Amino acid sequence: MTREEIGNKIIELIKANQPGFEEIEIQEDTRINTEAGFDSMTFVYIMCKIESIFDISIPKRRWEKMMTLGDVIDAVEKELSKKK
Amino acid sequence: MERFKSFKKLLGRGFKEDTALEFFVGQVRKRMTYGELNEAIDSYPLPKEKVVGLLVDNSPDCVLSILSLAGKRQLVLLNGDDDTEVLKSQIKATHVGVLLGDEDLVEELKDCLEKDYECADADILFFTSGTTSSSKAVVLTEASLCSAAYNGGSLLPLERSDSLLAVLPLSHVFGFVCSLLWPLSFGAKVYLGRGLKHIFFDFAEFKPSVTTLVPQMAGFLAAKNLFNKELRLILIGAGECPDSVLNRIKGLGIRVSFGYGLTETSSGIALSLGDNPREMTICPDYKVRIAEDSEIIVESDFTLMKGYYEDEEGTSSVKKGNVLYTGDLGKLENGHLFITGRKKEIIVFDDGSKLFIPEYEGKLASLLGTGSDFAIDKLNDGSLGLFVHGLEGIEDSVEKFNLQYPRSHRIAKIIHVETPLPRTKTGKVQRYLLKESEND
Repeated sequence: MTREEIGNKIIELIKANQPGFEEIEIQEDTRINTEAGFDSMTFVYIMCKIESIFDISIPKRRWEKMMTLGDVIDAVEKELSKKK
Repeated sequence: MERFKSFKKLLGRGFKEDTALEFFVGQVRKRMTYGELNEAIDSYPLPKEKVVGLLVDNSPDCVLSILSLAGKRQLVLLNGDDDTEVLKSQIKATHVGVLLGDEDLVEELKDCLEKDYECADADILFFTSGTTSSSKAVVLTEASLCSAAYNGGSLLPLERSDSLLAVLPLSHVFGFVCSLLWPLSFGAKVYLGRGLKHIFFDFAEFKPSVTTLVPQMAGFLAAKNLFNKELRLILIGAGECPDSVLNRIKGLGIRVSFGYGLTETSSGIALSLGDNPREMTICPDYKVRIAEDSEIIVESDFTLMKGYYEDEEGTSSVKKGNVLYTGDLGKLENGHLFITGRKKEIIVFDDGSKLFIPEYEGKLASLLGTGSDFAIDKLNDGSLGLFVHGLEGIEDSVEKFNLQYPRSHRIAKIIHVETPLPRTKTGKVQRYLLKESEND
């Protein structure tokens, strides 16, 4: 799976699960806190959905370090590469 | 309802063959009866160190360690999800000699241990919310925690047939008393949740009849319709709960009770029992009065903390004998307690965590420049906002600043205000006026 495909899948997931995001443009450099405005519970929910659809487990300590959507994609890419 | 002085006696209420704990080990669902739990406590090996730190993770091993070591060792309950630097500081401050819990984390923290520290006490230390400098270790006892369970149970009794899903961290006193001791004191069953990653699935998996939540969790789970149909009661505490959340849960046919308490009081002081969640009935062990400045002052012979650990000055500033000055504001009407605000400069978030404004703004000042015109406050949506005047291009710096805090304490919105921030004559920001800027 390419980086772009991973990104698109995550964006699709966010839009499907987070009311108000349907029409908002989300890009790799979108900041999770100050732009996407996820509260901590929403973030956990989205991360759980991401882990589920990609069938991966991202260490929880790494979750706290994620600043942008690109960081989330990096983490997914890393975990997917371990499965190969 | 009986008052107990030790966890062992409290557990004696459960029938030997009834399930006390149900949990997952890997993918396998397991259970432990009251009889088995009592036997496991009796045979639990005591460490030679006098002060034991527990990296609390809500696992059955962790629950067993707490119940077994209480009254025999000085126990320090640490939140395994906290930042490592915070944990190091807490371990050093409380002279922890041995650490139990997640092996990798124990290895990472082992240099902070004080192996030979002698301690004659066998209390239970809980940390209040906060960061390295503001978080305080509160000294509680088995007896005070059991009394807190007695207080809650007297007003809100459970049935032996009830099953409670424990998802709140047991390292926080609300989670510990209300997710563990409260149901166990009625001989009910406790489902140990599988952690935050599984909270969205645990209700469907365990099908509890009761749970305890913080407002943010309650609101989110209700909005996503993740509660099971068998759920009949939710006890919400540790923060303000918006009416919209309460109404949504009530709309699902689930009873909501709202609890007010502090770590310093071993948990609950008052509980809402009727339709109005803001109208609280005071627990049997408490006398409550309201000071002239509206501060809630509570008196109890059973549940108050011994004090803040090795902090006589801090203790005496809030506790005089069996009287505690809560720092919260309220009013009494027809014998019921209503919470109206906070005296201290603290933000209480919907997830139950607290943020000390002066400390946080102090750190921001070193980023934005001392003398810069800014202030933080909780926004209408429950997140943290940074109000600034005359500061441009700070977004990247703020985003980096955010990384040092847990997600709920990160700045979610920067609000640029055209005029200088409203201040009192002494220079204090008038936060209530900031709300108007948010709405502009």
